[in-house]
Amino acid sequence: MLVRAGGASAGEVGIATGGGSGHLPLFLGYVGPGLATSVAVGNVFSAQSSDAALAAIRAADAGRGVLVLIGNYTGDRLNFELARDLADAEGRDTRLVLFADDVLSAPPERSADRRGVAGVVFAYKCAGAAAAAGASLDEVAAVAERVAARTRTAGVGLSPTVLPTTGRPTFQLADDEMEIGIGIHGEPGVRRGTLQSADAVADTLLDAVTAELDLAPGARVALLVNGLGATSAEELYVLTGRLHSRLDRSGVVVHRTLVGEFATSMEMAGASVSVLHLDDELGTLLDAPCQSPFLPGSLR
Amino acid sequence: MTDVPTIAGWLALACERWAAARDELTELDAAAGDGDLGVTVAAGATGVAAALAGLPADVTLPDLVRCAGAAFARGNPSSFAALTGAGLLAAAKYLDTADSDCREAVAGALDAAADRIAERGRAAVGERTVLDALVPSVTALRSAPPGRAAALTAMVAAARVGVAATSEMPAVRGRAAWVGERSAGIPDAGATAYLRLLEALASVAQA
Repeated sequence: MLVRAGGASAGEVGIATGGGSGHLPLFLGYVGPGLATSVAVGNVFSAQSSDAALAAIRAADAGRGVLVLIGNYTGDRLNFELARDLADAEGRDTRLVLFADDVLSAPPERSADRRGVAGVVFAYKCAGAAAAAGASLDEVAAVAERVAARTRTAGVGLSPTVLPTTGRPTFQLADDEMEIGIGIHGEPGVRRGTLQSADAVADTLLDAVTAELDLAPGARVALLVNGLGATSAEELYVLTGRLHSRLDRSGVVVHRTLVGEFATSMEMAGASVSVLHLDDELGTLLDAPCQSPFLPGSLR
Repeated sequence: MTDVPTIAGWLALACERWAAARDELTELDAAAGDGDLGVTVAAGATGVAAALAGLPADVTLPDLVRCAGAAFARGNPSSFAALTGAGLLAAAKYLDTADSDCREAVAGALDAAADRIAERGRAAVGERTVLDALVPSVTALRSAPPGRAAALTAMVAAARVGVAATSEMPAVRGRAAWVGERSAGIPDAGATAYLRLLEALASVAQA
């Protein structure tokens, strides 16, 4: 369990998060002023314990309640829900928001089964800014819910990661293949295909993401282009160039762009694209200052 | 009504015996899931026995159940541990306001546990989970002849039938769902774990 330097800020709603290791900077890297308050981590690709989750909730509680903001994974959820039961018995007020932004992990009619991936960074940023501005627990939770409802992510894997516990790769791919819809633990995607150009990959991912976002001309978005661990910044910027030109062409305004490693899968090669459909309040919250070595001081 | 320290003693002793099911549960779970259920039950049961030993003599029944739930979950961070812990915490909350002097209070507490496990695990009866042994055992408890021994005998018998039925159920929840047909013909490890606990409890509390 790790908590913000100086602990939870008096008068602020706390934000507790967590999950398995192997995804740095997720989850530890998003603890800081204007972001999450505390974090509980488990072993590589394994849920955090309920004890660690309860410790994170306690550490985040400065008297105005705690938002538990986590990705939608069964073990992570069950252990945090149990920790919420125990926190409830201690008289603490908590809310749970599950982030499930990976569009390719389940079809729309099963969206509650989707995995949470890199898009959660937008939720830390916006909910953290709301908490820092003094919003109530219900308001902070509502911001996180709105970011979750308006964010979609799609990813592609080019090479697997090797699990330290087994010494085996999480999946097998030929040199000239890619897995569309890969999860951040190497979960199978929707389709395995021949390696394509960066432009074609960018188009595939952007089409998957925008299909559910209803972006009319003039819509404002935040864009996050995430490397999965072994993909160079140069390649990510090539993808970003194509994404910008596609969005420009459809009249969508890109308010902020983040390019780099935000939610990785150790040494997996590949990338994901997240789009947050902003409204006025989310745009303001996204621009508010925050402090973390893994995010610009503010996203400006 | 049996006093609470006696119940704690039974439960602690039953947990020690329950932990001995480790290898059987590991084997069942390895056939259909990831094989960690034996470790989860052994660690949880040992943790519960130790936690119960540390309770004050004037502990209430809800607090005993709450202590057992937290201790079981602390054993290891698996889904089964978190679900069992959550179920016991729900049972304790039910007992906070129930009249614990009657059999219906115990049945109601087990109902509360089953409901919580179903909700958290997003599972229903017939989906090859612990619910397939737990839910029929509560029905049996309600219709059993008077007396503790008769109640426990009826619960064990119903759970045993429930466990046998899971062999032919397709897994739709948990890791067992990923391996699909590999689980056919093998009883569910979670349901079996509950049956072994009931058997242990019956052996120590029937006398």
